[in-house]
Amino acid sequence: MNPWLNAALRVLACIGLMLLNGALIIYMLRKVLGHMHLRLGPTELGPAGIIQLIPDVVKLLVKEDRHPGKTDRWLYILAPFIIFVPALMTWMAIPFSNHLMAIDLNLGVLMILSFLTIGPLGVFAAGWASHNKFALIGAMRAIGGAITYEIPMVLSALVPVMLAGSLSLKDISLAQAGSFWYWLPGLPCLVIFFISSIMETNQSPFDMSEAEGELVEGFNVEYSAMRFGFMYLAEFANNFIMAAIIVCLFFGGWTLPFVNPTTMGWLAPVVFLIKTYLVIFLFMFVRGTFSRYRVDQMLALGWKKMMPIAIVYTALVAFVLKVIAMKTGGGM
Amino acid sequence: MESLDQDLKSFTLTQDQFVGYDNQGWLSLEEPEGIPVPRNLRRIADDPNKMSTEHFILNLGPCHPSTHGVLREVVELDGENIKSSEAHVGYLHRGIEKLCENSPWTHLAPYMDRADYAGGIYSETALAHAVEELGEIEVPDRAHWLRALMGEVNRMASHFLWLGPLGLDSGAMAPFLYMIWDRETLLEVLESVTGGRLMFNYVRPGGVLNDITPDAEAKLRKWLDIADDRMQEHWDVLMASELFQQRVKGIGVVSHEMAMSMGATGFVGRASGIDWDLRRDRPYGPYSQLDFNVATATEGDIWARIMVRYDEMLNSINIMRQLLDGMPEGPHMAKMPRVLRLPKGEAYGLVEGCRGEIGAHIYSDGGTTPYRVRYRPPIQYHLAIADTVLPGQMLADAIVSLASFDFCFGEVDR
Repeated sequence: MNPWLNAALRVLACIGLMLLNGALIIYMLRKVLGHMHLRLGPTELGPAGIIQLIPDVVKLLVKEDRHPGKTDRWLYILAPFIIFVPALMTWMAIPFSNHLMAIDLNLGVLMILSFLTIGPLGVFAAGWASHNKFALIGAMRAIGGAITYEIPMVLSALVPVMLAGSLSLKDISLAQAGSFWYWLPGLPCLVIFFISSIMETNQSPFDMSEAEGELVEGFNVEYSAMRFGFMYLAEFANNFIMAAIIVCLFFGGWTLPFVNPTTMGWLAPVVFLIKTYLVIFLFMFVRGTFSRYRVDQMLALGWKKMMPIAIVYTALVAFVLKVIAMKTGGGM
Repeated sequence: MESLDQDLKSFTLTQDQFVGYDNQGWLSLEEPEGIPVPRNLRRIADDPNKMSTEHFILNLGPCHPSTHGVLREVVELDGENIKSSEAHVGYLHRGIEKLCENSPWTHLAPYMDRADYAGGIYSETALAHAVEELGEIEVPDRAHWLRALMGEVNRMASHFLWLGPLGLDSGAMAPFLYMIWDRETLLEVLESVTGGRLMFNYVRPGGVLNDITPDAEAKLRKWLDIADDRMQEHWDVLMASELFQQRVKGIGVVSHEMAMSMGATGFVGRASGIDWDLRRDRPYGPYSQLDFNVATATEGDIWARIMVRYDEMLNSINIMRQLLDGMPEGPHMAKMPRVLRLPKGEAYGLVEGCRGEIGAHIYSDGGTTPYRVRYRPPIQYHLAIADTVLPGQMLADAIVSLASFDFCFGEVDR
């Protein structure tokens, strides 16, 4: 096949997955939060309100795209894409099975984590370009938060990387197939990574940059119609990505215990998706339960608790692995 | 007063004439050209030795989800920290006191509902007390008990409408919807007795409009059976959470002196150590025969206010049970003349409302309508206190602080 066509098809597949995921998470969010809150969520259109998505998307598409007058015009237009495109790029390296992935990167973890750092820049661009004080405060919070959670997040991702001896998400998943999953040896890291994921995806209790009760809608307050839709799509995509990374790093990716990971066939992506959406369900559970952190409390949590724990635990694991490697005589 | 004049001027101007601190405008303290809006912001100069950023002025409201259209809080921000604040009121002004002057004495209750729209029974009762005192009207016992019962139901409903949104403003959505479920049950009771869910028009001079129906009583008793469990659940869902506690402990502190000097009553006063509850200290109606206690705290922070009110809710449940069990037989309305004509003079009726001491001061010139009605809104005094405690807090805390005072702007603006 023509390599350009091949690449284009892969990108299209990622976009399709992203849209599908967005639709699924919207429905799931409404239903999960609805039932947690003693209400029903959508019920009217179709069985259990499942068709409700279609008019919602149509509404987003056909709504008037209001462009406030005092904005920084080009940055305002660009910002949703600065948020959207990195979220799309991260889908490339997610291994749904042994061979089902857009690109088999041997630096998958690094690639995903570095693309995720671009997202807060887009948030800041949106907040700055909106020329709105609420949006600006939200943007400032997003940047402050990004610096806080990204270092512990990357450090805690290093533990499974060291255990597997590879930066490729596929290899990390495969390495867990024969032995135990890494959530057990990496338990503190899993907790830190989970909290950082909630911060990264901008969800309650860490929804600083769009805290509704305080900042109205924060960085996206001046956005409407599909520009707003892009931001939400990116947020839902990040939701999936963070859950997928957690599954790959700590819960064995598509593998199951006592099953040969290379011959699972169609079962592999199904297992992977079930695991991922279980993690997303957990995100929603947290979101529906707790009240919001104050911004300085969140920074304190990041710098004073998560960061030292991540550094100490990563160093500890590195040390233990080195000792084991020296004892057995092999290299790491 | 100067700020008030300017504030009212801003209502009469059209959109083009009005120039204020625009949230979409550039971020500076420069006075905009045209009509100056907030003049007496108590600017706090920065300590030159400390790090600070450029200050800017932010309109919290009226179009802000936490001030929902009725309060405009102009705050001067240094990053996230509030340097000074100024509350602008008047968005819900309807001239209720003036409207009262054109209505017969018996037709004033609907206006009182619209003054305190979350706890209407109490403002109606305050006015009824004043009219009955001036007209020397004998009210049957059962009417007093019914007023107290419906009042306590309304108090619970109003408190749920405070505690839930307080959680909502701090980011917790679930408790709000859990509490609305209870509020709904109580509103159904109120509806089946009074005919209204929010605007009751129930307490009239001389008694109450309707007797309690067996259906409503059964419904209320059914809720009272599960009420303690429900309150425990609300505790577990919202207040037991350490995340919530660290948002409210030590924030928005109202000192005892401030509360005393600025006229705090009700739960705000009790949370700051003012041990004063009209139901106990100046009992009216059936309260002298009831057994309940009044919680106080000395910290004066948001947590103390929540504790005081939570205890008040538990006591309300207890009071409702006692009222239902001990309800005396008899008529629910005194024999009233067709046209009520009060003698020349004045009277002041007061009750312990949902948010504090609600008073109605009436002045009669001997006619069928009031010469002057003055409504004492407890929230107006608390608003001044809130405005004083805001500087020094962070923006996120300011929202929770404001919510913790349970503002009901129908009262403030009238």
